[in-house]
Amino acid sequence: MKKVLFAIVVLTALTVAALGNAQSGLVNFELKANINVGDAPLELGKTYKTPSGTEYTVDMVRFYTSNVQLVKADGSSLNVTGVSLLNLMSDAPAAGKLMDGGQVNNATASKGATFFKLQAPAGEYKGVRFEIGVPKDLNHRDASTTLMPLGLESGMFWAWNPGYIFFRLEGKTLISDKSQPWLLHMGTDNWRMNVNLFDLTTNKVKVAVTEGGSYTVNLNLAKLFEKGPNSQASWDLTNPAQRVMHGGPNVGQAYLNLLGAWSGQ
Amino acid sequence: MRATTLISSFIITIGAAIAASSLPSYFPTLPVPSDNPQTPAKIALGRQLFYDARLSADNTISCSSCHQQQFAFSNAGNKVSTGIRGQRGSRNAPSLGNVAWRKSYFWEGGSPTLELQAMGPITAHDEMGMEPSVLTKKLSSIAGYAGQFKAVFSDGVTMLNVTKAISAFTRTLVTADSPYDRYRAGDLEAMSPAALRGMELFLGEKGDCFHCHGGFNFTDEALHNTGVNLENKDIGLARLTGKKTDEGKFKTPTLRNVALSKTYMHDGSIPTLEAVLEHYNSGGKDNDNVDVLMRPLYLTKPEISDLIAFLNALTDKNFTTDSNFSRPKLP
Ligand code: HEC
Ligand code: HEC
Repeated sequence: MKKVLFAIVVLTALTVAALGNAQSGLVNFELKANINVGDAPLELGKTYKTPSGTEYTVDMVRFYTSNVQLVKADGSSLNVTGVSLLNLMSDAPAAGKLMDGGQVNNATASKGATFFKLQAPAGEYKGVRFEIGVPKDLNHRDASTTLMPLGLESGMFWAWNPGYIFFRLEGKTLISDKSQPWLLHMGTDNWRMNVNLFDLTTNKVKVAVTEGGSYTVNLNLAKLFEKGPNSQASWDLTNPAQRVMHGGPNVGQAYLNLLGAWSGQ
Repeated sequence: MRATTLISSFIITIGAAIAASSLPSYFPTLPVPSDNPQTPAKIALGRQLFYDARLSADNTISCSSCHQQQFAFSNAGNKVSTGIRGQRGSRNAPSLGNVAWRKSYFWEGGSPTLELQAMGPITAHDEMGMEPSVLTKKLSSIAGYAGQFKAVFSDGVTMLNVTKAISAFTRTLVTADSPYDRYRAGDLEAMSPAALRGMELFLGEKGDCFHCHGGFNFTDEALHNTGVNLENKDIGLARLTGKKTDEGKFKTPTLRNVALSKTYMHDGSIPTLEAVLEHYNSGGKDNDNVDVLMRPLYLTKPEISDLIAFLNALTDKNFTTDSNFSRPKLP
């Protein structure tokens, strides 16, 4: 009897919530990413080559997205709250207990990987902006009491640098026939990427927000290796300081390269 | 089997009780965070995790690989440490004696609690290289661990609980029974005359060690540049603050059991206590940020050997053999 009552209450609540959304005109919408190497979808574990000829694989792509904004025709923007963690990897963490506004998006493929789910008024927008990172006010809270997608279970807590790893790539390189890990861990408040995909003048970007719809952006990881640090022509994975980056002096160039890795459709 | 577990947890209870009650009067009470109270079962679990190489990605490295009891939980005289797949780090592993009282962790003090610090070695690719989601799955699949986690924590195996259990164990690593402590407790024979002379120098303006290595744990918990290197290749505190003036600043280490560590400073660059004393006597290497306290001390040879005798009197032999801290049976 109690169970039935409970079910009715829940159903009513759900219906009211759904009606509420419909009435306020909010629809469910997703931001998706085509995570590529060059023009082709990234295959985890597949061997690629840097421009300077070093073989590497990518075994893990993970990043936080926050401060999402939809850009309106008049140039003003609609702010969307929430922090999402995208995981493209084996053994991704379970979503577990989520914090308010938190999302965990475990992707199964690099093509069309949902990295942020949002609700917004339906309509046509001129573009989208977002940050790759954890907002400053969340980045420094006690990680042992913070829920997913933050906290210790996320695997993104950075024990020896302040806050979380915002953008995390890991793989292997083959150097002198020896397999070695390579990794880029980018974070701290200095290295929060601002991705701006809108163009009010040419109107090239159109984001049609409809119920169940999505907008897809491209992230071309090959861009990371295009320009090397200290004005070197290209990235050098045989150099330990460019192969393993837990922050550190070369992250600045990695950041610039990656800013150019995002594009709209 | 059941009886032995009961008996051993009984012994641990007593051990913990004794450790708490027998702290010397000049030790502050053991700091324990309110969200991670010490219990015998949790300490026992943490001790197993501390010694278990299955916490590393390739089952080869445990906390105890780099923090060995016989060396007061420092790293057996290795300048820097070797993690999974033979990868070498860049820093010297400090002793974990009295680690509960430290105000911050890591050489530049970047981690505020023992619990959060433990995430560092577990996840660092060149130490244990473990992904939290993989580790919790792995531990859940080991029946002996799954049961203990359930018994100790209501939510079972989580990364947070792994760090809580390990920290509950490392908090018990109390060292307070060196000749110096016995001397302070009233055993006037405990320290040699040379060590007593060394103590005078250490605590006086001549040796001037106490300004930084003061208090019951011989550390001010502050960060200083002591001119270990001419160039601050490892920038230390500046990594966190980005300030030029913080380059080469590192946390003052405890000097308890320092004779057992056998490689000194953040980078393990000084090989002996004699060489450490030479370093201080010369005023250190003159890099941009050297602390004002670093200056030539004009200590004579006999004074230097007295200071070394004092540092040797900080070795607590019982700490290195205490069976409460040794490798337990693993599930
Ligand atoms: C591969 C060697 C290695 C392993 C494995 C290792 N450590 Fe360490 N540990 C170090 C080094 C090196 C440092 C100094 C690191 C730094 O300051 O950047 C350190 C520092 C520490 C500190 C900080 C002490 C202080 O006074 O600041 C604690 C606590 C600690 N380790 C505990 C652990 C625990 C617990 C584990 C297992 C989960 C562990 N360590 C595994 C090498 C290791
Ligand atoms: C200005 C503060 C300061 C003074 C004064 C000072 N120390 Fe230190 N001591 C430190 C710091 C900081 C370190 C770690 C430096 C590093 O790793 O770069 C250290 C490291 C050491 C170490 C190495 C410990 C280890 O585990 O690696 C020994 C031994 C030592 N000091 C002894 C002494 C003695 C003896 C004196 C007096 C002659 C003295 N110190 C004076 C701050 C000081």
